[in-house]
Amino acid sequence: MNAEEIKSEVILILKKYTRKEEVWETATDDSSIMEDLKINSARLVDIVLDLEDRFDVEIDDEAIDNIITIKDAIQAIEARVT
Amino acid sequence: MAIGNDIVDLRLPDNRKHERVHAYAQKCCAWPERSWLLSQPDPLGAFWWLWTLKEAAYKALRQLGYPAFQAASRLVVEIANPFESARIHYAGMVLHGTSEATEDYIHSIVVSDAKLGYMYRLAPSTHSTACVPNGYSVSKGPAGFPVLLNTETNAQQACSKSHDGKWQSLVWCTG
Repeated sequence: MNAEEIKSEVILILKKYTRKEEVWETATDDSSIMEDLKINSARLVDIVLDLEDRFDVEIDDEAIDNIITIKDAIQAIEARVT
Repeated sequence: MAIGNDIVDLRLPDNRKHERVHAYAQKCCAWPERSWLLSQPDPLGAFWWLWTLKEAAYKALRQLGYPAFQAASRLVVEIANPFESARIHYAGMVLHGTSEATEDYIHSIVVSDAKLGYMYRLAPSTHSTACVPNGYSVSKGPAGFPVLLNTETNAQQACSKSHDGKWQSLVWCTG
């Protein structure tokens, strides 16, 4: 799976948990998952579990602590699948 | 002194994924918490009780200047009076929580000092000011955390907001 495919799959998962479609109109890779996409911390757990299932990886506590932006989520996966 | 709170709307479909409770427990809980919650008649409800305490404790810790983190398993709930009160441990720090659990929501309030006085308001409303007492407003303090501002005297008190589904809450220190 290449970088573009990973990004696309990560964004698909994030989109499952955004309640307002318009947050994606201004979203960039540097957008904060909680602040900009308005995803709460409980749903962040769902996102981590979805990412683990989708990519068959384990995301440990240290990695979870570092997932702040969309780019962080993508990088967490890239570091584990490549 | 610091205060945090968290509310979970138990009617929200996102909070009713019973099939995920083992994964939640594995990802967010220390072993004693996992062991306890998976032995409960309603493991998901038990998980959300632990979760609200962890989230409320996290908000209080941030007010105290602790660094940000995301992994809920770093906070450990000492289970003595389930769904009523608990102590929460983090890096040698002990915080004190009280909870209210109903069929509709679980709400927990955590303070840094067991003697700290506090008040809270909780409302089933989407109106953002429904919980704010008359004569006060909520704004961001210098450190970026919410403060309850007396609009006449400009006096500020530490406070914490939470919102999930149709529930919102506001808690503030009185001491």
